[in-house]
Amino acid sequence: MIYSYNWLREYVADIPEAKKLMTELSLHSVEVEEIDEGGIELGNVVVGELIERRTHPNADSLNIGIFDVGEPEPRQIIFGGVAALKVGDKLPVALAPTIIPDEIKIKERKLRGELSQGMCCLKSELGILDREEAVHFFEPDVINGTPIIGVLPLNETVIDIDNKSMTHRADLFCHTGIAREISAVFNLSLNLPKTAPLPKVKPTLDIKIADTNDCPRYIGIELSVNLGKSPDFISQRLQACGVKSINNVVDITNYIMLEFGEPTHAFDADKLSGNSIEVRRARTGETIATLDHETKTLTEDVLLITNNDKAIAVAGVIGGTESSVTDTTTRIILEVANFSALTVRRSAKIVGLRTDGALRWEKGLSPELAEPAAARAVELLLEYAGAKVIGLTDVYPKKPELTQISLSADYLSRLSGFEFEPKVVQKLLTALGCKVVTKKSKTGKVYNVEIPWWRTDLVIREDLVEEIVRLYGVNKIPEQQLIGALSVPNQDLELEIISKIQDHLVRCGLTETYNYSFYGADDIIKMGWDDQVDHLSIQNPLSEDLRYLRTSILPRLLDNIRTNQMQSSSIQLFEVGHLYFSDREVRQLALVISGGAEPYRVARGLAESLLSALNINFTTSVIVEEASKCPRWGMYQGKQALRFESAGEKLGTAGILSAQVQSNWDILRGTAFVTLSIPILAKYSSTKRAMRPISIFPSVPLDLSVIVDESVPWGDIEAVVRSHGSDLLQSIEVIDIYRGEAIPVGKKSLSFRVILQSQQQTLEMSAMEKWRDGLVVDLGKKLDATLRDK
Amino acid sequence: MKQSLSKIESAFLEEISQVSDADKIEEIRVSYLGRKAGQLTVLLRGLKDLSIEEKKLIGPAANLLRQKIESTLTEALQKAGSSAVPEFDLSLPGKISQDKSLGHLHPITQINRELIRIFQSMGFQVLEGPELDNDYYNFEGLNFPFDHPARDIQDTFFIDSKITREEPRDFTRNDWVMRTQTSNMQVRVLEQAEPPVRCIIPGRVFRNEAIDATHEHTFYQLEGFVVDENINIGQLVWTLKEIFRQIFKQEVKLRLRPGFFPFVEPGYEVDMFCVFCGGSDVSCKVCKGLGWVEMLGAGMIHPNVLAAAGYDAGRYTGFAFGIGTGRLAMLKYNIPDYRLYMQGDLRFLEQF
Repeated sequence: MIYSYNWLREYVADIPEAKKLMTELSLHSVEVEEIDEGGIELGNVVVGELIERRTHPNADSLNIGIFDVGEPEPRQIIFGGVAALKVGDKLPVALAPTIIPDEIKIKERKLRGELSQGMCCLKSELGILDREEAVHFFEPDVINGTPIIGVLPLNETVIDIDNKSMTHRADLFCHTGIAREISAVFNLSLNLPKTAPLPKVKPTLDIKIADTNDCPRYIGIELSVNLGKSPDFISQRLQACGVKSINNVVDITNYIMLEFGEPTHAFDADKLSGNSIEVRRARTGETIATLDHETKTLTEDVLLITNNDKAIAVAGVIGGTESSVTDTTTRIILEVANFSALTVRRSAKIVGLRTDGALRWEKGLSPELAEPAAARAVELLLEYAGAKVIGLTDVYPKKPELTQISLSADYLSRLSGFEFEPKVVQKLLTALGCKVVTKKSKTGKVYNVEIPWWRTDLVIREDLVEEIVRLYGVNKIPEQQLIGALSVPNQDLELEIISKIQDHLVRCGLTETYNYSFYGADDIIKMGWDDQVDHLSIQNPLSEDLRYLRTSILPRLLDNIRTNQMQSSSIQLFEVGHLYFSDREVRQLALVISGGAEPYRVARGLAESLLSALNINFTTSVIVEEASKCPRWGMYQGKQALRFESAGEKLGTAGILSAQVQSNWDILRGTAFVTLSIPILAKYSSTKRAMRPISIFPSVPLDLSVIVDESVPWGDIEAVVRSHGSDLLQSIEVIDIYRGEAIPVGKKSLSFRVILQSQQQTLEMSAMEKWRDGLVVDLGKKLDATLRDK
Repeated sequence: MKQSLSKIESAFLEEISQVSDADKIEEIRVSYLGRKAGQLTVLLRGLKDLSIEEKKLIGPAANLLRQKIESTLTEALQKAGSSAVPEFDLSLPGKISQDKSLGHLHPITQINRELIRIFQSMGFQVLEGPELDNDYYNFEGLNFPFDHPARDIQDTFFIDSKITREEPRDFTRNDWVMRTQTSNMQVRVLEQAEPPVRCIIPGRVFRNEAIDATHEHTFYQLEGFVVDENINIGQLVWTLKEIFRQIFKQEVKLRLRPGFFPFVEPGYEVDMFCVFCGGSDVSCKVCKGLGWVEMLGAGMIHPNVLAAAGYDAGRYTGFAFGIGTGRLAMLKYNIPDYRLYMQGDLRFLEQF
């Protein structure tokens, strides 16, 4: 909200200068975003008096004026016809040479043959006031030649306070409120406007309130008025606060809101029928034409002001068009009421308007505020709108009791960490308008505090601790070491596993990415998945491509490949993140390898090395579509996947990205992927490790190349080797897969290396040869394999 | 064959021990490693006639001997002060021996790890919590009543699917949201635990707002809270100061300003005095020369939150704070644009 510094000065005469105000308020109260000291550069613009005028001999639309600008000689200035000037008028004149706002240079020059030594300035050209295309005329007693910066309220200093920082402070959305706060923070005397009591006149309205929870109070004042312009002080203050001046009656209602924080509304009494006002909820489907030139259709959540059952305003939010004050209005009903925060908030939501009024109501204002606000409004209307009070009706079924909070000195020091002197507490709370009674009890001092009606936010003792500490200065509370029983909490196992995964994969050359938790229907289709319906969705997504909650990290990883693939010939990425399902939320690891030789083998190797690093006992198996129903087979090349399991439970899968999905994502190179479930990894990651004995006898490598049918997978060969294994077999590793010259069509050559080693003795050549020959026979028998060499 | 290797070795060692002159050393080199008739060269050449198995046995041993002879020769030459020692150049750029490059941890992972390390050393438990959560834990239990204006500040993603999760408590409404704050874990943790509790929750949070260089709809926070019998504001300040002192490896100045968060009372915004320019440089990207930089929100846990966790009124007090880890990493690593975190651009990620 914007506050006028000069206006505040009226209440706090010794208000600190802008910069200090900004810093100290931010440290003790609310966040001052900016103090704008105006700072308009007006150049050499002075008050000039037209002392002689004639028409320009060469241009009918121009006039020649002789102006007294306070210099020994008058100046000749050519002016147009936008504003009618007559001899004796005093107005802003820019004296050449100078520069006025918008970088306009004023120079001495000839206009159609006649000399012009300056310019008569419109308000708009000076960028001041309401920026009308009109001239500001000065009173005759203003001395010619006075710089206008000194006589116009141009450089009005305004203070901009962040609304968010006072969300909870309904009392601060007005000048008297912030003035009260400033006086408390700076310990300055406060001089708020004194209002006369409400005029004692007869009630003339028949006011009904359907539910006093919605509307605890309604003051309706009937007045006759003379509509016209507002006095300067009102229109200037409104303008400083960014409110447009309309006419005296409307301006006064706005002025009251800026001054006391009470939103009020004026109805044209002659446009109402009869004297009934009812405050009630709308009926579903009921409509009202509102001042923003729209017709709103309402629900039962909306609170209405009605006249003869016809909606004339949305309570606390906006008035209706039909009953609004216009130039011809002569009699008004001024509404100074109180509406509940929740009701106004719901109404505002439904009519889709968060007006300045609604903004204040929804913070929660006291019904006590209506009285001074009404009195002040009447006072201003009498003085500046020629008003006469015809009647006043105040419906106030139940005056709320003042809040009482008791705060023990012990709790104050326990929560704040500081022993406050009782007289300091007394002084600080009193400065806020509280009444404090200090009592002694068995457990020490207790402050019984009566909260002033305008502080609707002070409800519990912690609120008082906050008030005392902030006014005293929270930064004066001494730091204190955190003490307490030392405990060593159990750490989350999954987080530890994730940390190990990150380290392992980064060591292996993968880069970690973070992607959005959302994707769109298009992404699901591009993945070749048939399970869009199983995704959770966002009701209000930022865009369609962010509608669904991810059930896999892969889609966005594939997109990462696409966006990075021009930079590098092989891309290796991983991400650990949450997947979201209706019944659970689980973490997943996904890794992708795109490009390079044999990406699938790299991906699988990474997964296996990771599982070993996590000390997980696992097995792998190739699974095919027929054996396992899943809506996601479309992304697996050949509808085959490698399944990792431990104790029969699935850890995850690896696969090659199908050509179709690869092309859907515009991925250039062959890509493989692995996904693993973090909770399952955590379940099987063992903390037990037992070292295997290291043989003191040498190990012997043995390379073999066999030719088999294309249809024979490596897994079958490995199975034969392992079954042949015996204790000698230490490890087995594929070296090369070869097709081409010397290999018959339809066959492939697989070279592999086994490491043989005995725990008991040095292997003899003969034992090795025997083992090898037996294996070759076995491979021949079971897989029709032949030895490639020789 | 093995025997010849050991013969060559002992002969070489014998010869080299007797010379100290560079020319003589060169002669020995030629006699053993010479391309045409060096003793070891000849022997190595003979390997090709051996069976595969023999090759496997002899080959490595022969190579080992060759390396040993070479390094002994180099050492001898150095002792002889010879200029024949091969040139070396320490200014050549480093390279990583494998053909692949090293991987990289995401900068948010890195800042989180740094914070976690510090907090763990202070006895904090680290949790993460669900990112899709019930309204109760994200709002209601944190003293944001339904229809309260405070909810407006946090533009929320609402879930329109039915959620059927097993949860430790019944909810007022089955409304689910993408968590807007890692504070969603306060009640979740406190209702399961008995103080003293010291806990941090690093994690991702979501707000439905348009993105630009400083705003993301998906961003990162670290929530921390401590609950015990006598936790106070002075301890909150001390704890935060320790954390930032550890992160920036220097003494830091903090200041608190009143700030409104429904789940704390009193609530504070916490500023740190700029550790980069000391508030003296108007071109400072972090503070623009203003000195104070907004770092986090904090406060004393609201009694309604402690009540939601099931604690008796007044028995415990606690503080809570929320650090924007994405923003902190931006400050620390000089990252100009929040959106970089989520774009998966290797040119960015590989810098960390």
